[in-house]
Amino acid sequence: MQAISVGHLTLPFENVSTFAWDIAIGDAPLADGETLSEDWTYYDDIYAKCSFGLDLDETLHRLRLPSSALLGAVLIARSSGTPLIMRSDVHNLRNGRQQIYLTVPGYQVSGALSLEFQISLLHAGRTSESPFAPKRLGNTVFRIDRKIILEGVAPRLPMLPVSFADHGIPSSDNSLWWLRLTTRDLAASASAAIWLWLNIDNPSISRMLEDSDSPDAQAWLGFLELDFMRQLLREALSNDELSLQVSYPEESLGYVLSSVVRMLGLSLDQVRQRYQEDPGRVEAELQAKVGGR
Amino acid sequence: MLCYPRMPLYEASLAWEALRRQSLSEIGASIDLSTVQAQYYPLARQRAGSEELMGLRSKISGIAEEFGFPSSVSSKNLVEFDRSVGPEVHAQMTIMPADASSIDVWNFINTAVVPDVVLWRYGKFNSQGKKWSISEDRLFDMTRTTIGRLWWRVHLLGVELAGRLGEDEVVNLLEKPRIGGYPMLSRALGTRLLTFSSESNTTRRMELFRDVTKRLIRKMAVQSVFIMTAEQIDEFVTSLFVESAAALSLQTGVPQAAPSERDNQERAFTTDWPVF
Repeated sequence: MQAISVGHLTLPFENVSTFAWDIAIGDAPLADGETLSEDWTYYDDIYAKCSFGLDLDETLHRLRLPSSALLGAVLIARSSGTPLIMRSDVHNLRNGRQQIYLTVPGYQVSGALSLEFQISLLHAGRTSESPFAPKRLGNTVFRIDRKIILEGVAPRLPMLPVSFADHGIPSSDNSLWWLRLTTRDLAASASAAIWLWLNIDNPSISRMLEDSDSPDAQAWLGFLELDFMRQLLREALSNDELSLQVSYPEESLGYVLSSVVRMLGLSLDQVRQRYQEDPGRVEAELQAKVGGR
Repeated sequence: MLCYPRMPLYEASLAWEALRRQSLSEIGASIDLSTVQAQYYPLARQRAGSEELMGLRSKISGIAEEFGFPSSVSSKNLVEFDRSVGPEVHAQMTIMPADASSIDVWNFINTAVVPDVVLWRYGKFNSQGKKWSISEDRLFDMTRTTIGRLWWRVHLLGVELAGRLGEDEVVNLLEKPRIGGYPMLSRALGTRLLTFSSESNTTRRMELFRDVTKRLIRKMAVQSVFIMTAEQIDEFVTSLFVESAAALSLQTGVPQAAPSERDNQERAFTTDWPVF
């Protein structure tokens, strides 16, 4: 696996001692390590508290920062359902045990809630001791996150029954489906970027839509899933900007495409190379993964 | 705050197959909001009922009429309609943002409340086929849906900025989850773009904006904007515009600061490294 460098020193987990999350959904505390909040509603706010201890002198020394440097901590909340991102007040780090709080209004979020705790540089001080020291405002030296499932987050592929004749496809009744990418921007929301259109002019697709539980429909749906994943793989391999080293937001196109490549368990370059040499074999491997789920 | 009725994607898609074959007046005459038979968020404490939905229809269609509905009008008029209707819809709906994140809510608004206005805004009538064509994006896509996108852009960018940015610019901002959802950042980006445009008079505004957002995403991998104050975010965003404008050979109107001693040290340090 290839490591990605942020270009400056960071803190190991041990340096932020006795780090702990305290989460409450409404009045109910969430147990340590618990990720599922079964009773959450839009009317229950989420209260998050991070407690941690820090030896500030040792921390600055480890980061090769002068004693005049300032570090800040912040809690950030993102939800998979709404685009809103919220953050706590920025807390100037000091020596010893300290806490940071964030209240997330329930009516502002939905789906899964990601909480991220960051320590970042507020001021580099007068003279940096090392070229590896963080230098720029916001250089993040420590981060840890926690996810809470507030409600069902199974991704919903926008599958739409559409007349392909209306979209100018000749002999459209022979067409089955159309995977349409509205953008190749990896930071774009996947649900906005990926559309799967089902052709209602095709008799088999029409029957599948009318009775999705029939054996024929199930066979078509299985085939559809395989072909959908195959097309996503092809898109992933042809996208020059995709990188498995980048941490894309969960709801983004980049996250979906890199997940498809990761199913094959190799680096992007290796999969590209193998696909170039023998695309059929790579697609067969993908079928084995998708069909086996 | 209210929760609104919902219409699943599949149901909405089938309803549009029928709506596309009708005239605007036929559609208008068939709308009945006196009873609402639809699902809501199951645990909703306050639901938008007939009164709210009829009020919303009246508000949206009233504004549309000011801009020429149901007649065919210029695209400039349609853009002006968007700018006028967004803040009104945002103010009138009092919808929970969590509820507004459901595309099914906007499917209901587009399909059951104002389908005639949606077709007037984005549809094109094919007189040979006697059928409306309209891009599915404008019906079912969360970032492009006709009414919902106007609500979200006012909610995230504020009334003034939402009204002054162009359609492509707003889409470029809001379809990127890491940028658009943090109002302090997205508003700084939008404001700087408008300032830049008024100062430089460039025709390459969108090209610049795309370059800026790409640079921003790259920098956000190592620099947290969440630790920054509003002023620091403004400075950070301005520096991105300066970098992008230099890369694209555009004038920004922003005076370039002389490099600091630290910048010089960093540059020297950077150039000292071998390239692998």
